[in-house]
Amino acid sequence: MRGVRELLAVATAVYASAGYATVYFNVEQAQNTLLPGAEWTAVPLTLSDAQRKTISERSGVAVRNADLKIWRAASGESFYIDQVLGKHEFITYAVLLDASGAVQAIEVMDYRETYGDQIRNAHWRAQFRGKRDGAVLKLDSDIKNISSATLSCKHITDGVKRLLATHALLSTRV
Amino acid sequence: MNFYRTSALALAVALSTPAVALEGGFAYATTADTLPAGKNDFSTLLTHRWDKTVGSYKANDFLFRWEHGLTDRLTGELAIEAFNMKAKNAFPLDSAGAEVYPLDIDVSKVSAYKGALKYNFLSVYKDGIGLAIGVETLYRTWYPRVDGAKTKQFSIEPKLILQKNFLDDQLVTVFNLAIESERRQFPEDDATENEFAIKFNGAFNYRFAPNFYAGVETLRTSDILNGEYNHYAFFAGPTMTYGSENFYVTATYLRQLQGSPSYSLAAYPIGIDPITSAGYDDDLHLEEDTKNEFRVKVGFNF
Repeated sequence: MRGVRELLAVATAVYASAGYATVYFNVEQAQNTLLPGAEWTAVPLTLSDAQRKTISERSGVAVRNADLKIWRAASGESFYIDQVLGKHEFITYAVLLDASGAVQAIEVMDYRETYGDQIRNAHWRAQFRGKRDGAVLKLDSDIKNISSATLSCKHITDGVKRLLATHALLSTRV
Repeated sequence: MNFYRTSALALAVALSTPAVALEGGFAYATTADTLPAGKNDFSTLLTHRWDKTVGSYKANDFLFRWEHGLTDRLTGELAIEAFNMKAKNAFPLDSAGAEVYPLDIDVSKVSAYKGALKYNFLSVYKDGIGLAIGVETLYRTWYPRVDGAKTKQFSIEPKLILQKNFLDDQLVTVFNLAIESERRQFPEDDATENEFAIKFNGAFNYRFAPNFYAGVETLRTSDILNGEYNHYAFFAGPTMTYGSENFYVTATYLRQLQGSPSYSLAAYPIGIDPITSAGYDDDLHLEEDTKNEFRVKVGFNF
């Protein structure tokens, strides 16, 4: 077992020197990037079990976290921060919805995987612009896949679909 | 002696080469995922094998592996294998009182060189089911199972890899089927033998917390030597993985749950000494396999 310990020690040492998370935006930076100059009011919400079930049925995507991070601008826009599964880590991203509930922009706030960060590409993210609750939001249908980042593309697409269903359900409260 | 050794080598190859695997998650089975073009995965696999019931037997297999994404769907692999083995009175004598295998073994060797390709046809994330086909080629100079004998072996192994994910990819299930065709020579008498080794891997893991996965792996091997069915062994046990941005560790313990009798008359026509073979289980194959295996895989992505 000594060999195992040595292997783990080497692995830990290499990881400590090579591995670190990449954070691109904090909340304030993401808000200022997606809607410069807006004043945001936090409106955090916790979904009930019934709401989670409704959202899952509506979007076809499981609701992993009942606690929502939502901000609303005086001009009517809504700003969501969400997380989806990456290969090993979570991917944190922000979604800006206009006053009508359509996607105005999305932004990847942190990405902690070795590869797949092509989802940060502006052209790929722009595919979500104008999407509303009920949109297909499926890879190789209305969202083009990036072949070397399929898992990230799928999970972000599913996440946006879930948030749109969430927003539609809660729009009277948000 | 050569017949016994040859038979043992033929029977044991099924477990001799670790399955091609990418990105952690499993230590024996492999997923249908391939590396993106230009990306690399360097991994080290340490497999500790022990316990044949009689005497003492401990062996360690080391595999150093480099995988590279040739395209987004095609991954290439190069690997080198080494082993060490220490055994004492772990094998029975034959009915004439002669050694079938050395009773005192202490050997360490670089044992094999391997190249492999894996092509992904269907993405489990996009197409609902993952499908990949792999092929491995291997050149072996020393046999890491049984008694660590010198050999000269070429083999080719096509592999079918299926993957199905559930619960938004938190639950991963894989099924591998590989058929290894082997052709080997023994330096002592220049004899040549042909064998087919059929390997099934079935496994699942569940991401129960960020970065952590737990599950079960199973492995069933069966060998056909010179056209005749020879033996099988079935293993199962728990697996756990920690995976992060650049680094992953997977540990799997396998216990042999069922297998062909260790020393059958089919393999040893002149018989095995009933006294020195006493204690070998009838429902486990302990000639080239052991009761237990523990594999740790450490990998880095870059």
